[in-house]
Amino acid sequence: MEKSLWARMVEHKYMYLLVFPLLVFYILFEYVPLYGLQLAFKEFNFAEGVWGSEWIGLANFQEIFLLDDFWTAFRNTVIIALGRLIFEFPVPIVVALLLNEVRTARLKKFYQVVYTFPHFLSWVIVSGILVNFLGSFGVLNQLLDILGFEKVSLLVDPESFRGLLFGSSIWKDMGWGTIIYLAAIAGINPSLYEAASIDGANRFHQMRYITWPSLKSTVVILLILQIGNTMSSGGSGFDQIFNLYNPAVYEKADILDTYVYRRTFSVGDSYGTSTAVGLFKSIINLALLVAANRAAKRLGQDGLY
Amino acid sequence: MQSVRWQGKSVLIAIMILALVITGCTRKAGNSDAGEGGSGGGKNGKKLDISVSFFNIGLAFPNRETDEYLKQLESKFNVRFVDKVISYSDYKEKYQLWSASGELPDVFSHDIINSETYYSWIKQGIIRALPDDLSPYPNVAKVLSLDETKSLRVDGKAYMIPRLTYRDYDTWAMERSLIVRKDWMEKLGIADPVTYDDYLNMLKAFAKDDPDGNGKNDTVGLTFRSAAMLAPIAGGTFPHLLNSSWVKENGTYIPYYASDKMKTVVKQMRQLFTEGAIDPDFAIMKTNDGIEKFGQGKVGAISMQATPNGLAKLNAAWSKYNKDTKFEDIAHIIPVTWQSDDGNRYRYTAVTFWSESYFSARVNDEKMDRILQIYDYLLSDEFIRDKQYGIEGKDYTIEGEKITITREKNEEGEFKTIGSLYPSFNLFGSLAAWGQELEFVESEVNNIAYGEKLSRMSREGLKQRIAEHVPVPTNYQLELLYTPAKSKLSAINPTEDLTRVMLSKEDPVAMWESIVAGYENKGLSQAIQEVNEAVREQGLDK
Repeated sequence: MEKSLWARMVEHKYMYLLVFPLLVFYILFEYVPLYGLQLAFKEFNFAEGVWGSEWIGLANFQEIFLLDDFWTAFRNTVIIALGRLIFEFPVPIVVALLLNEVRTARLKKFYQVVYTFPHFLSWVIVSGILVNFLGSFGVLNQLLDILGFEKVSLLVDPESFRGLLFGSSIWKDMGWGTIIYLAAIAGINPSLYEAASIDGANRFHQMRYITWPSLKSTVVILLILQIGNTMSSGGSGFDQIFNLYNPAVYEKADILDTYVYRRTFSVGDSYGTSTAVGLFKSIINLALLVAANRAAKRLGQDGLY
Repeated sequence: MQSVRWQGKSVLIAIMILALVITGCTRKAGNSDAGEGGSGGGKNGKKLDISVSFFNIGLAFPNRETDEYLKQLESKFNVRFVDKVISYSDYKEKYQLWSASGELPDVFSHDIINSETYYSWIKQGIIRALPDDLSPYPNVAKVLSLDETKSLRVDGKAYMIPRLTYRDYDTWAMERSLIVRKDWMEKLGIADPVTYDDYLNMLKAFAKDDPDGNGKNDTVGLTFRSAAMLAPIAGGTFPHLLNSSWVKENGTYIPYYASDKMKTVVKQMRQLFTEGAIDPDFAIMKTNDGIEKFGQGKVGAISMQATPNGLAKLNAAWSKYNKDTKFEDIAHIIPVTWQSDDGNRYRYTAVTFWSESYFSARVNDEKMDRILQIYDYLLSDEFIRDKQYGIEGKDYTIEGEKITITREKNEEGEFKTIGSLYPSFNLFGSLAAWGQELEFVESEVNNIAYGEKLSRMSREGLKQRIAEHVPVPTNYQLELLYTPAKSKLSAINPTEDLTRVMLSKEDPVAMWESIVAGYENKGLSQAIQEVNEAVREQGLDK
């Protein structure tokens, strides 16, 4: 006889207890704040609070859609997120495959530590280092100067700024990103490799026909997550951009998150329009996530749900 | 069984940790008053906590126990000052956040007069009004009855106390200046620049001609203390850039950035940048980075305030890196910008106050009375003397008109500064008023605070500028005027746009035209229309 839900919950009560704190976390910090979304359709009134503010329909959206800055930020968000997908996403996979081929365990660990370490520096610190390193009297330009080349100003040049974003982000996070792939690789049954080597497969063949196919489902899931994250601060990199950008590169680097931040806090504009930008962003995000999941399923992979 | 028990324990631990985190995050409940205390009964019988935010508050309370002046003031008014720290680089963000979460301090400094925020905070009851009867606080009443501040009442009520900077429009003249390396000018054989080309060539030479003689390409022409000091450079071409004011063109008032004269300005600023006259890193520098750079001896000129206090800041940075040469021997003050086409040299001018004191709506009448007593004291002649001399009887004695300084000295036998003796003066010294006209008075205390030679340099510079230079023609009443569309113009940041044009490779004029076209969507035309109607209706045109 099928047990009732309650009976099953009692049976696994410790599991449920373990999940409980996380559930509380999600409800408190992810679901409860959702009530603030109504501000996108309201004119915020300090005295009345979020609930008491007056409804104004779609006026906030009308206002932001008229602004060039909004569309610049929108375009940049999409371009930067795509760039991250193309340039940053594959790097940890390649690094994981390469690390897997390193013969001595000590050397492998050494590389892993060296590549992972920068992840633990915050962007505030990394941007400070970059500004010093790339400034007009920084190490890079002193070197160029000695070698007789023209100085470059990567930080204020709109043409090079996105490249700098991708490059610094790869430097900082590629080691961290490999961890999940290395774990997946460690889970592959060693007898597969043994059988392959008896059949005469070399290291490259093994990588091509055993490691990569076993990694594929992990890659797809992370890819879907990344696409679903495209518009969010994690996906487009608020921390990084906010600490590195400057007025000279707004046209190429200002993303929706940085734009919302400036509108809300520096310009001191209405909370309503800022929330509208945020809501607009989330809706696109959701659509992208659903689309990516469908596409993955069509291609024969498992997908997220 | 074993594993189940273990699971049970770990769950318990997880829950305890969560509970701890949640309690840790919960704000301590309770009212802000410290309850009964002090002498009890009578005037100011109840001890009150007063929370304060001010631009320099981070420097004010390093050690409350050793600050005699703080202790004196707290016991005089039976209060305890609670600091809520902000700084020049984050005060707007913090106030914005605190206003939404109902956590604004009792007293705070902000510069929002006649802006959208000012009116919505009044309308929505975020800030409170001062009492109608200010007669118990004569010094406060005096500030609010000045010509310029009278008009700032809303529905007959005052909602702020303006922080007076200077007593007139002229003393602002040194607030925009270049401080240049005299030794570099002499070495390169450069005389005081007059025209645009003179400025361009001098600054270029600082950057390119190896003025420090170390054989390396490591010097900067012109740097800036803050972003606000950038645009004034081109004030010779368009005077209104000096003070970002509205300008009357063809009978209509427009914001300076809407003027056609900006086209010449952007061309010149682009040239100054591409030819290397301007610090290549200016766009990524933070406020005060320029002062540090100047101190390191890599910079030919810096655009900032050449007031005694401004020079003292540069001096401090310079002394840190240069033990052998004195700042006063290498510093030279020149106008921030070149001579205008009409033959005039223009100087900076502004309304007589910058920033205001606001009071949270949660301040009750009793606390408001206490705060106003404190403000009245901070605006009194007695406090102004203390601000310069310290504590009477300890740091100075007074006999009739004569003041004798008896202040502590440092190891080099020089009098210690008031700020180092009583750090709380970083707050109280300018909480109620900046009172910067005091800096320009010739006195022994100023010589101690800013150095004799530097004080004189700034004082004489001011005298000369007031006599020989022309103030930017500014309609002060219009600057303080509120209209709904005008207040929305705060979304426009012309300095950022100017920066973009300077650093871009596209045609500067075409770029600027498209930027100004973008201002239309932010309500530029509407603002111009409203302002000019208001000017006609209220007769604001002088």
